[in-house]
Amino acid sequence: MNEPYQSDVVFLVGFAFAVVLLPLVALLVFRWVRPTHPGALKAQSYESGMPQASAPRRPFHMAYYTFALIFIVFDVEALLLFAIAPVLRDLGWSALAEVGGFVLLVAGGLFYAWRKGVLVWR
Amino acid sequence: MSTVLTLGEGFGLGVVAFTLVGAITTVFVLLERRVSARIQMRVGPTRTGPHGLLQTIADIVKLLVKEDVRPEYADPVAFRLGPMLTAVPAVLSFVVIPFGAPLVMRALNVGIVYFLAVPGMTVVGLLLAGWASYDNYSFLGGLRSSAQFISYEIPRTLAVVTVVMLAGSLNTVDLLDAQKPVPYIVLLPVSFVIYMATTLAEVNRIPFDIPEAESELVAGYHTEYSGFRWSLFFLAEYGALYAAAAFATLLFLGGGNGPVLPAVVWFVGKSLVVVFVFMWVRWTLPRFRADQLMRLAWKVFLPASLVNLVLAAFVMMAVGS
Repeated sequence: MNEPYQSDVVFLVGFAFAVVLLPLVALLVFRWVRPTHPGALKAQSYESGMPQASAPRRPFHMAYYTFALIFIVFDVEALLLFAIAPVLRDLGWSALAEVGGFVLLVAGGLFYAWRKGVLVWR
Repeated sequence: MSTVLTLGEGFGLGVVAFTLVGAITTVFVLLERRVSARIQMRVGPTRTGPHGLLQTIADIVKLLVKEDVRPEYADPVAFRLGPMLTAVPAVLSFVVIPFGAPLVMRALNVGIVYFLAVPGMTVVGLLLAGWASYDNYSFLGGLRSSAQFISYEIPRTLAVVTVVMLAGSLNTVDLLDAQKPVPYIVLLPVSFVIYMATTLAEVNRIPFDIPEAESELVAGYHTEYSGFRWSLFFLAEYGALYAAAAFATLLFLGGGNGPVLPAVVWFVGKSLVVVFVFMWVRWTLPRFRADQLMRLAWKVFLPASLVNLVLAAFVMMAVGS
């Protein structure tokens, strides 16, 4: 725990390397075992046995965008809270008031989005 | 010198973690099939090996030697990246899980943030897999999965913040000591309920399995995948399931703390009970509709977790000082 965090990063790089490498090796090795018989019918996208009715690369529901926007607000909020949460007890009431104000501000944003009807999936 | 050693240590433990996730998936798939069969008054797989114990092993061999089919119009790079980006974060999250007090792969100082952030990358894999497949079902499945995933991530994170606040540390090992007198499920019951419910959504399980709703979307984002690439999604699902259960054990159930038996036994025992609860819920409840799911996340869980956070902070300060 007293080690510098750099060694943690080095550890994670080694770890991630192994985790990425293993499935790739498995894919390569079993290439010699598994059959490969591509065909025009097999290469069609699945649509319950019918030819594909419409191309999937098309505009999609606007609501995904608004939800993603609110998500970013709250995700950043949560991340900032993680920075202060472990030391909140030592910092005392004044810190709690400040953090409470911050949470209230963001909650106000949620209330606004709610009133504007953004949270309804139409 | 020590850098090379640390790198090697990481690599070695990475191999261990991947093997562990493989083993967990093998056991859990069988467990899930047997549990679901019992709940629905069926018997489940019984033919391969004694009591059907070898069923999943047979399935794995089948998946490994199955043809790898790729749709004609699928994006070649993204199609290959999707399963990898889904499976790798699930395995990475095992780094910070303390199976016993000393038995942790790496006690990162920011372990709890790490655990929430790294599996969060899964959403990119789901979206990519769904988009790359060039299939309407996959596309919708990928979009819905990512919408659900990000919506439930916030209440879940806020529930974890209350634990961090009480424990005064972001290190997963410190949490065990902090819970020596009393596990946090007693002090923070609301956080526990929010964590468990939102976790069901994070690991795409009923009642929150819209991404894979078979009756609507065929198989969601992994409709077009076969063979080993498909099994990577399965690996991710069951790896994430165990990781989430282990984290519930760590955050609220006191981790490996317990009398007489060694910490590892307590930890694995508790986390398996949580896994069983997840399976129980899955085979008992029906599924939410996509719009109900979003409403529940933003209008029930999010306000509830905000109120819970503020209340917990107030009570902690009032009692603590």
